[in-house]
Amino acid sequence: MWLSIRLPLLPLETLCKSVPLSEKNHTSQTQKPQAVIEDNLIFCANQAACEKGIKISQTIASAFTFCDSIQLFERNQSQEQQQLNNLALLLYSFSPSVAIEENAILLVEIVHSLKLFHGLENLLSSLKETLDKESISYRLAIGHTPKSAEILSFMPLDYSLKVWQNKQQKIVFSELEQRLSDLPVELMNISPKAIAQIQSIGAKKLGELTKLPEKSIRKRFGEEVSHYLLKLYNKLPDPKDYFIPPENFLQRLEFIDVIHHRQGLLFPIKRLIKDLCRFLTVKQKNCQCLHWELFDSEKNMIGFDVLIADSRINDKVYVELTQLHLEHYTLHAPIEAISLTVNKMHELNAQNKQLFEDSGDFKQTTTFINKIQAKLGNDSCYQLQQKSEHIPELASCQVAEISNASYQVEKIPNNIEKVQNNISIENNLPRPSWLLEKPEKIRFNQRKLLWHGELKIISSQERITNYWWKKKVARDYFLAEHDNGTIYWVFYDLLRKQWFLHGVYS
Amino acid sequence: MSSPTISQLLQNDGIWQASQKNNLRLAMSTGYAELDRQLHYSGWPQGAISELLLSHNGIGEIRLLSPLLARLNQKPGYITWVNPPYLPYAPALVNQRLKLDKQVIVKTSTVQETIWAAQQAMASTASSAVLVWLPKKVLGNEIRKLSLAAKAGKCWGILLRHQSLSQQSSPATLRVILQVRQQKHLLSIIKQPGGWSGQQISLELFPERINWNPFDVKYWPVFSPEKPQVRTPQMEISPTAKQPQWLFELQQKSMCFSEAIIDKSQRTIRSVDRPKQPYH
Repeated sequence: MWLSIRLPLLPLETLCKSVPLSEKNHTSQTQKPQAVIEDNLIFCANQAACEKGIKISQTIASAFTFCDSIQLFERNQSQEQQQLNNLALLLYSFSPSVAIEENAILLVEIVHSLKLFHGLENLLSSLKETLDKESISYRLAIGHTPKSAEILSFMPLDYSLKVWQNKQQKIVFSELEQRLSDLPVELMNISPKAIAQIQSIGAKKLGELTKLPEKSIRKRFGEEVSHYLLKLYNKLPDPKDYFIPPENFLQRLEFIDVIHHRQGLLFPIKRLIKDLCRFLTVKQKNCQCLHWELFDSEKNMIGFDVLIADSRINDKVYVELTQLHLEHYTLHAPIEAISLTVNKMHELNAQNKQLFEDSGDFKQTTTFINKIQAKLGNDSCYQLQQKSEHIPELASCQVAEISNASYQVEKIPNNIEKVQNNISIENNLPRPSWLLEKPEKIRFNQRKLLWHGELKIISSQERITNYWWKKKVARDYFLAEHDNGTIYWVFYDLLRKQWFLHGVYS
Repeated sequence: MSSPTISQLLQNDGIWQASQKNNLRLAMSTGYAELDRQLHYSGWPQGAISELLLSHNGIGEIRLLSPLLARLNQKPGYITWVNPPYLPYAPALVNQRLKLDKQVIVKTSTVQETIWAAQQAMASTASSAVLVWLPKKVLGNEIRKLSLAAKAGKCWGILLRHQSLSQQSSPATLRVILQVRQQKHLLSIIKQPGGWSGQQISLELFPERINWNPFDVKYWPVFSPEKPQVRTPQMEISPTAKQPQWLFELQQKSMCFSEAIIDKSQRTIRSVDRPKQPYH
């Protein structure tokens, strides 16, 4: 069983969506006549325009004679396709079999989803709820074949719902055939020439056409019509190319009116991020880098990356971080288009949440780190890692990526044991909490070590030698107490014959 | 009509009444029983700013705080180090039972950046403790900002400042001076919540000190070209200056020795045997 969603005003609505919300609200109060043109002919017109007498396939000149205040937009097919893909992604949560048809129709195989949604009524109501949020106009219909659902979508939903028997959860075929045969022939999705031919023999309704024997239909009207009818009545299989969600996210918005301020970019940014979040949710993936590109009217491009360390999908955080990054740039020319690309995606690490909120615990989120990185630069935050190196400065290293520690700890209990074993070995040897970035030279006058005061060695030596095969390191480490009570970690370099201060034993 | 004013006063968080010893305020033990006894909340206060005034960076502040940090590390939440004076050294932190993947270090270049980053970390509710190193300046308003952020994020905010600022007033809840006197750490509590301040205690922050044996100056390794080198007995087998002939030959001959480690304490030579393979 198929559900069809017809989007009659898609070309117009796609273009109007990139207009900022404030303007849109303004227009919605008193709907202006608007239309989309393709090849200098009216392709799609809104309700207000139709009331003025605008019709499809009119020339621009005649459209202006009917209504001089009409707004005309050039059709943008790629953006339409993007919008259709977005909607298909949205419908993907209702059924795995979604097909995008020509003429802005989406077909959904729903027979397997009925059980999940506890019946057709529930499914339709939740589908309507989802689609209403998208601010598009749509029409729904059900049918036993893709073609029947498609043709029935010209009628109101109630018309096709009559064929549905709620108790047994199936289609009543006699009722369906009755309703199909009442439809006028010009609704068939075939060439206008064939429709004219059918009308010329006096058949006005589908029922009148199907009364004719099949062979004579083929003889009179050709292969196209006969195949259409066979597919409509499920006598011929009608395979569809199902929609497969793409691997990567790439969306581009072009604006009808150029955007001059940063503030004006917020609306398209929010829209793209909303689409991204939906995409990520469907794919159960997580992204770490948003790549934004702004194209201005002087053919310049501003590109920047927004890094995200958070493991959850959160549109508000994405918007905030993008805004913070955007503040670094000045717009020299009005912006014509914006695009968002997300390539590297990772499996979403779903985290277990507490059933009852535990107020005492801290969250394991990296939002604040992202914020700091966005403002102070990506290299402003780092973490430490221990390495099994003998040379002290190599045993600790900085890593820029912030780990989301909550699940790592549970994952590798063996490593913890290992580390603890290491501790017990290392524990005997004193290690300073602070390490100087570069060891500082200490003066030695045969009696005293001098470094901003006097140092006195208070521990026995620890010799560290390594890398004799490469660049040899040989040092004797000591703890030395300063006049002011601080304990420093100093070493005598056996090769350079020089004392150095390397750390603070805090 | 004085009663409304008194009730208003009592709502103020800063007012302390001797009649009700408020145990509702959360605090976490410092890990030092002696210090816990002196603090009315028996620990570092949560959701507030504690200020450590140091005579020098590295005087023992990490050791003083590490029991708190180690305990906070067992629960979710990062520990943020804002603008530390030196690089925190990973092996030492591991020795003090801190988890490295929960430490976040933030480098800043100006005071405003330090305050802003610390504020973000404190208010985030994702950072259980925030350590902030501040320059030798009076920063009353900034510290007030931080204390509001710490209250919002319910975290342990710890400021590390110079001792000379102890005479200046500060909005921090707890203020402690850390000094060293005759190899002992001396803590003076100059302000604390929940009661009188002015306590002084001495703590042994480095109990391992007893294992260290001071070296006399004549055994320190030196280099003086005119005089013969004065060396400790251990220095005899220095691999640099005088390598024993047989070890040298061994290294020359054997290709399977990838590493020869000279263990100074046992004065033996351990060789790390690897499966025989060409040394590249």
